[in-house]
Amino acid sequence: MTQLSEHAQEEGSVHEHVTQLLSSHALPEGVLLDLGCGFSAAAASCAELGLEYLGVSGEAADLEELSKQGLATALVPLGERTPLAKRLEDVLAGRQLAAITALDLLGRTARPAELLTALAAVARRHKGAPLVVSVANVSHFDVAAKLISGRWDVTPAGLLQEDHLSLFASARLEAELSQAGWREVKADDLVVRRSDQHFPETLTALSVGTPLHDFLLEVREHSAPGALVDQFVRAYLPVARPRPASRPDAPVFLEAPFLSVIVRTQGRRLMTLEDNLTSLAAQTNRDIEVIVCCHDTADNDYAAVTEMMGRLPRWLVERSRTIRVDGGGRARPLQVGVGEASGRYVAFLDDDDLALCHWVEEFAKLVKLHPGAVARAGCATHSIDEEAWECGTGYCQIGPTTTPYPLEFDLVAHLVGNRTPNCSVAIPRSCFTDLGMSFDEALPVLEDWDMLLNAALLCGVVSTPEVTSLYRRWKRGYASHIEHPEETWDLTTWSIRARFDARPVLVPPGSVSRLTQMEMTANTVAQLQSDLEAMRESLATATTEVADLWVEKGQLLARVEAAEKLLAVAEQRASVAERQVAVVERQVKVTERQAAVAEEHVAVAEQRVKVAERQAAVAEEHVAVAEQRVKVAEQGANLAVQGIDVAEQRAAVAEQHAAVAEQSAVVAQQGAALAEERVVFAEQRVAAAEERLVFAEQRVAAAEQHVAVAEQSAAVAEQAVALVQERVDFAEQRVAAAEQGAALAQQGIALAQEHVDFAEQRVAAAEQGAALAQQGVAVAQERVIFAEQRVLAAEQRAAEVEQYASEVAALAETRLRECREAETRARVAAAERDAALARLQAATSEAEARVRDEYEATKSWKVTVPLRLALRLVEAYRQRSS
Amino acid sequence: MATALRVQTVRYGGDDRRLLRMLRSVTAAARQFGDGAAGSALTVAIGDCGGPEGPGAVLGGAALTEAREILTRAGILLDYVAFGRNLGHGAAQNVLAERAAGSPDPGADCDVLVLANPDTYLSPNCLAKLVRVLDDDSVGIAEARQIPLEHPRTFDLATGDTPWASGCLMAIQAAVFEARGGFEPAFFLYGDDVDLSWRVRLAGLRVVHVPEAAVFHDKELMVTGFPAPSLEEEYQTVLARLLLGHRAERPDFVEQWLGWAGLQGSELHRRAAGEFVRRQAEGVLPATYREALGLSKDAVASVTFFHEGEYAEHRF
Repeated sequence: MTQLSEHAQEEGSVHEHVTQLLSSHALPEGVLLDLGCGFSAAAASCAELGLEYLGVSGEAADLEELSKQGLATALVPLGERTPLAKRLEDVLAGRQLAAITALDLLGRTARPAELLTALAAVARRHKGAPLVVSVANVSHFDVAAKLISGRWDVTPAGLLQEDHLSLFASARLEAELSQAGWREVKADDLVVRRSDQHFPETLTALSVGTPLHDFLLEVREHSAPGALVDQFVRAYLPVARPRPASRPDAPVFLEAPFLSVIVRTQGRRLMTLEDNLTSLAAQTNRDIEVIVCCHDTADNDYAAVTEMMGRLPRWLVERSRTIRVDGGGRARPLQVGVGEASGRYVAFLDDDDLALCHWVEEFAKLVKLHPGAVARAGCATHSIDEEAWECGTGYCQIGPTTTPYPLEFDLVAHLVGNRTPNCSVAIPRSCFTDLGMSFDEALPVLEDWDMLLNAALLCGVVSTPEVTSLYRRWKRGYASHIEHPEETWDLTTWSIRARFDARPVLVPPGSVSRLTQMEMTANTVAQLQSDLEAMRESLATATTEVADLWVEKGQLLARVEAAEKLLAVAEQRASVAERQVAVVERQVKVTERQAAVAEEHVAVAEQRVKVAERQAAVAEEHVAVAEQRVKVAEQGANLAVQGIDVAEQRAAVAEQHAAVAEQSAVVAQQGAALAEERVVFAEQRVAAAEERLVFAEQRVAAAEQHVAVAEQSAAVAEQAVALVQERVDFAEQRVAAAEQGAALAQQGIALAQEHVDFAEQRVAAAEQGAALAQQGVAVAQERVIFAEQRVLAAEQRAAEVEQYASEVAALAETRLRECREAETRARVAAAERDAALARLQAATSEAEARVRDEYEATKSWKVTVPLRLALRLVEAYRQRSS
Repeated sequence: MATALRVQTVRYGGDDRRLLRMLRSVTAAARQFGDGAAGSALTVAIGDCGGPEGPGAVLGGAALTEAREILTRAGILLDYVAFGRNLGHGAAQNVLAERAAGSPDPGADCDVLVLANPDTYLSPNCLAKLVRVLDDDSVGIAEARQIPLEHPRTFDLATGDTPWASGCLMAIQAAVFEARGGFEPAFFLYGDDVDLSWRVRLAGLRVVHVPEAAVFHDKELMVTGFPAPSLEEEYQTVLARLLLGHRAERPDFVEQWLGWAGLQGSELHRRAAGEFVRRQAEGVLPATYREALGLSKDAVASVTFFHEGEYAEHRF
């Protein structure tokens, strides 16, 4: 008692609560019977209320103390009913009873019902005087938490007082008093967060802030009232006729169905409701009751609903009822329906939902598998739209049926948002009756999600992927997803999630690995994101590099192109040079031909010299003839002695012959002059050839500047020049031969001169003619020497040309090397390009091959065999048809 | 107007509880039907294609007794026929209809035939709504709206006119059924409803979708949300497509599906294609609409429709 008082004083005391109740409910005046003297410490407050205190106890020791304080007392044994009432009347001795207090008395009584019944009888006789009791609450959280840890600590005083014979929780207190004929008029329980049982302090279940404590307290607070009530302090009035006793824990429904189906409707869409009820009538498992909750339904609509219910098959009519629910939000009819339900499980359908015929059957299977868990089945959905029918507003399915909801329940996914239409779960009714759960009427939407999470966290979920229901979405008209704006859904989602986040929750087995995986995934994601970032950066770099390489490649390609162009130009130039060389060759040939012509001319000159020689010989012969004639003349002179006239005539004839010889010598001289002219002409031709060679040289030089191949052509030109030189040499030899011939001719001429001298001696005229011939020959000789000098000069020029050609060849060689290097670089660039193309082609081929392999490995039989079969079938059909 | 109604269903194995459930729904729907037209009479005919044993066995004694009890309690006559073998859906329905027409029993005569699958569950209003639509003589067939999955076939929002009616649950004037010669037995399981609908329309009558008459068609959905097809459905659907293409003289459609079956189809699809080719070779294919009904090609083309394996425009 003392300990209780100490605790009570922390948060208001029992006495204060009792005084408060007495001030409200005690009769205006009379005696306060304080049974067990629990109120004695506050007896002073009786006087303030105008009441006369009388302490009553069966223990004399209790009373002695009070008597010493000057309080009125009476010794009455409190165990027996009939004598107790009588004795209390005796003690009152005709005085009016104003109220009865029984503080901490019922716990110390073995049979409180009897005591309470006797008190009710007395109170009824005294104008219905009230009873105020205080009783220790053994269902206080501290006691419950300690029991979890296996502790039951009896103490001298307090909640588990050692002399307590009866233990009370809220339900028993209500039952005992009600059965004894008392009606509660006011409860003013003493709430004590830390009761006298709050020890040891370090017990985890008692320590505020530990998950175990907070979770247990959460469950305890929701399950039944009085989690933190230390003392029930309540005022009662006697009732005229007490109700018969019944066991508080007896089941209300002995034949409770498996499933209570709560159908929520507003009575506006009778067609969907009728379909809904038809789908319930078609259930394979009929262990159900149907409660149609008509929410804010107009009278005529409600009448239509009840009329429709009457058309159902009889078995279902017997198990169905309609109730009207007015006011509140979407949660109200569900909550009211649950209150009406009697099934072991409760399931919910909106009037536009449809059940497949094994909806109940699958729930029953799941519950058999896992009793007490939330049962969840697969759910499909499709869209519907309003449509005008003959009978009024109808509806029509307007889209295909899909299954967007996960087929298995996942708690974590459901914390994110609702993934379970309300029609696809069945919830144990015990959640509502024993765990204090309810649909939150404050929520505008998502009340089903809130409920599902509450139930799932405590009961767990057993699910099947079997699709057993259809959730339908309206395209237009009234529907929660149309009526409420998106912000409402978002806000409600956040608020529900925040509510769950604020308290400790139980997670199902497997959650540790799930959470671990999530954390690891989060880490991996972070890592991957950072990798991704790095890769993006390197990609950017690589992209830049690639761009640079592309530029470089472009440049290289341009250079290759330019080199190719240069090559083409060089080739063109080479071909030009070739053509020029050909021209030069042709010119050399011409030169050769001209040299040959010169030779021929020399030969002709020789022949002319020979002719001149022969003429000289003829002249000699003529001289000889002249000598003979001279002899003849001598003979004639001799004869002239014989006949001077004849001799003179004959001398005239000789003179005439000498004139003829002279004329012949002139002719020979003219022939030599002609030969000389021919040699001059040959010299001119050689000079022309020289000029042509110079020209060729210039051409070769031009070819050298442009082309690589010019070397070859230069070589060819060189050879040609050499050939020309040889020809020139040959021509020189020929000229030399001609010179020798000329020398011989000179000797011949000299001989002829001797003959002429001899003839001179013989004939002066013939001698003079021969001398003239000799002079002409000398002139021819001089001309030949001049030609020789000219040939030598041509030879020197040819040597110079040769040297120049070799220099040009070296230069052309250098150019050719450069050109070849450029060509090599171009070839390397082209090879690189080809290699890159080859790699690309190889990669493409490999990918293609892989795809083909995969295709071959998986599809080939499917493709080839059915194709043949298909063709065969079609062919057969065509043949038959034709 | 008093209407005599005959609900006909053909069973072959399957879950007997479904059939009993269907019969219960008929009793509930009959109450509305009876309320709507005083003096209306109702008979339920069950054609049993089950053999003596095996998966397609004949309706068990206990189930048959229960069926009889369910109907008797509601004052409905039962006409149960065991064929002893699987005739196929259309042929079995024909036999059931002929029994009504040819019976000397005046009570067996009927005005309207309601052809229902055994895996359906009729909504309470279903029969009354269908029969009322058939009061209009221009309507040959009235079709119910299926739930939970509506048939996607298009229909006229104002008149309900639709290209063909599903055999899941249709009501047809008995006289029309008889005049059209009932179902074409060449269709064993699927496509017979399309064929019958087209022939009714080719005869100048309307086929009407009645959305107010809901019927729950017990489909199991795969996890994808699509109904799970049975093996028999796989085979019969392809065969039905080929037969419809043949009757409407659409060789392009036939070739398309022969090719499809050969290329992409399953073993069953290919077998169905082979069966069609075999029938054609043996000359046992049903007559074309032109031959059978003496109509022009244009007349046939105005009613028949082929597109991507469907026989009507679809809403979704």
